[in-house]
Amino acid sequence: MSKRFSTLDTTRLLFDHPKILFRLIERMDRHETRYVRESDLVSEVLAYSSSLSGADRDRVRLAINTENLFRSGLVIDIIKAEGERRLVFQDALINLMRACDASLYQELTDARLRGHLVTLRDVRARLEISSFSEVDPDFTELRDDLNERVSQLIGLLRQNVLRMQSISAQFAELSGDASRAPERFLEFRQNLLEQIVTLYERHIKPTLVFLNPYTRLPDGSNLFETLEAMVRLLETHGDHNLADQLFRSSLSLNALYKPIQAVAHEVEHFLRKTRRGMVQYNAMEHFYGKLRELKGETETLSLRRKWLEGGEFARSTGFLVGLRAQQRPKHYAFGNSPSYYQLLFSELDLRISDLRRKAEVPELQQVEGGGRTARVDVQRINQLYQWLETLELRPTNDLVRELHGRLEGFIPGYRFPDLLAALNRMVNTPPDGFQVVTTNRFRALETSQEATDVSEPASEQFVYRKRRLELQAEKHHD
Amino acid sequence: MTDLKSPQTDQPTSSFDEVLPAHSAALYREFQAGRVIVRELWDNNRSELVANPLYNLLYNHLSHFRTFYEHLGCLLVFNDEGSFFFLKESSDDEAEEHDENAFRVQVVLLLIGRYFARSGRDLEYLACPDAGLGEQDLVAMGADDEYLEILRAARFEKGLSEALDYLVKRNLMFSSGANRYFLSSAGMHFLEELIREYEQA
Repeated sequence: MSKRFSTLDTTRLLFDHPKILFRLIERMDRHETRYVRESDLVSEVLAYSSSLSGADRDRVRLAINTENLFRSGLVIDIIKAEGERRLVFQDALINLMRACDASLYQELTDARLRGHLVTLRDVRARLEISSFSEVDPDFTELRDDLNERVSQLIGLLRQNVLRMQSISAQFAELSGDASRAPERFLEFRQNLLEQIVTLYERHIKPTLVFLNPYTRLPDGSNLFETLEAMVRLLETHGDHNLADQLFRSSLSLNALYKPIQAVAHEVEHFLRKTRRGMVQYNAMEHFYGKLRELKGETETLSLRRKWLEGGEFARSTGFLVGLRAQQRPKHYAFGNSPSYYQLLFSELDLRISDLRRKAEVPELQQVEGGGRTARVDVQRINQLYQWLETLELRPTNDLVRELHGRLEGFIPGYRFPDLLAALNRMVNTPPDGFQVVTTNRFRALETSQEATDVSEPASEQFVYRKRRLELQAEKHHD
Repeated sequence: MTDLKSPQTDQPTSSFDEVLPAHSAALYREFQAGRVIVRELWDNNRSELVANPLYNLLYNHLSHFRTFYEHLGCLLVFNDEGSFFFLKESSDDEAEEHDENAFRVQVVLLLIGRYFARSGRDLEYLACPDAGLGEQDLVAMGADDEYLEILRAARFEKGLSEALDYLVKRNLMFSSGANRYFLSSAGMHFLEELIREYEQA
């Protein structure tokens, strides 16, 4: 068994079979150690690979063993202590693994945050006595150090925020028993409160305090003061690039405050819940978790999986299964029917004749509420009437819609009141050879969508009685 | 069934005689549009819940409509607790597509329920015309990327407004004003069902 894998391939295998490391990291976190026992690794690999077949199994077993991991540099140290071999994995690998599974994030504790703050203060102190000269290696090193620290801090906090945002699922888990067994609710509740309070006090609150720009600390400046002081220092020494960068970093840190605050609110709500409220909360979380799983399935590499496949989910709840689809609007029937084409062509003819007379189109000036006078109105209507005089129409079932279609977007300044006037005219003096039949059916017209989107007034509606335009001789039946 | 001796004069009343064709047609149109018939509808003009005449019609002639829709190849489902009816297509061949509508409804309701519970309010308020979802809630929900992603994956490409519209069109939710919504008895029933199921698990 002397087969060796390159670092790249080993890493690839580890990510192909991420469960192995996930479990090892979980164990590490549980025991709060920085190493993995070799025996744990071996048993984990054996247990996991037993479900694999043939070549895959061999590959996993060969790649994920101490020898190969060490030689490929993924395990950086092997410690022999207390009769066992302990493997220290590369930090980068572990962190990447943590990034793949939100539950593996380590919570930031007060102590850790403080550690970061102290290092930043230290950097600041060194910056104060630094030479700010590009040729001084002390300064350039310090600058690199500063960049690294800040980006590390942001990364850490961001991870933590992501982790906190999944807190609702954690609550549901914590309080699941409490909400299900009403008779033991009080006992569970006590327990639950303790756990949540720990979470809140040890993790959420410190982070909030840490990220609050107004926090006063007994032992020195807070995070933002420290950063600001460094920005000022850099600016006075003309290093605007770095100053800007640091300033932007402090902005992103500041922005992290809000999501954490939201989480803090949620915790507060949760602590005040009654049993009923808690059941509701947990039930929602429980089913939402299922939905999230379905969503997870759409986020795999397969390009075809774009939609949630909810058949099973829907059937499991059974609510409204078999509900009819909403009818879609009927599409135009581009059929073989001669009457359809006749209609289409006659409509086209009419529109073309409108276009031919484009030069004569009356321009109805915009009349705004304030300055309108009767004279303007009359002039306006007259212009419209003249146009209507010469407008060719065909028999139609809905004269109002037809007129609207012919006028809207064609005659500048056209508004619904003009349609009313035009209609009035049509009813009183129908075009030659036609008659207008007013029915008792009501229809509504709306101003077209594009028009309202641009100029933003609420879309107008025109409710009208349907009117038919018929050839006079013909006795038309609808 | 029919009395053969006097077929002309004394026809036993068929259940069809008891229902006005116009009412039945109205009901059919509702079902055709994929709507749920709930006991109370929101009256926008009076700003209150009013009895739905179609619900009463169905309720009073339940067996008639059961048979009637059975003949049309559908199953009329009555839900007592949620006080609503809906029409279930009973053909199994297109199971996929039929689950789809139900699923999309469920997804939106679940998202609303989850959002509401997380905001620390009692879910009962969701079905309350004076409470329900307000403008702020819509903004907050619309700003949540995960919700939007789920909606998008459930084929609500235009996001939250489309999803809410989907529910409103089916009488699962009512709009009690600009940017104000609350659940109908049918919509609320789903959330209650989930809670019950969870409690029993």
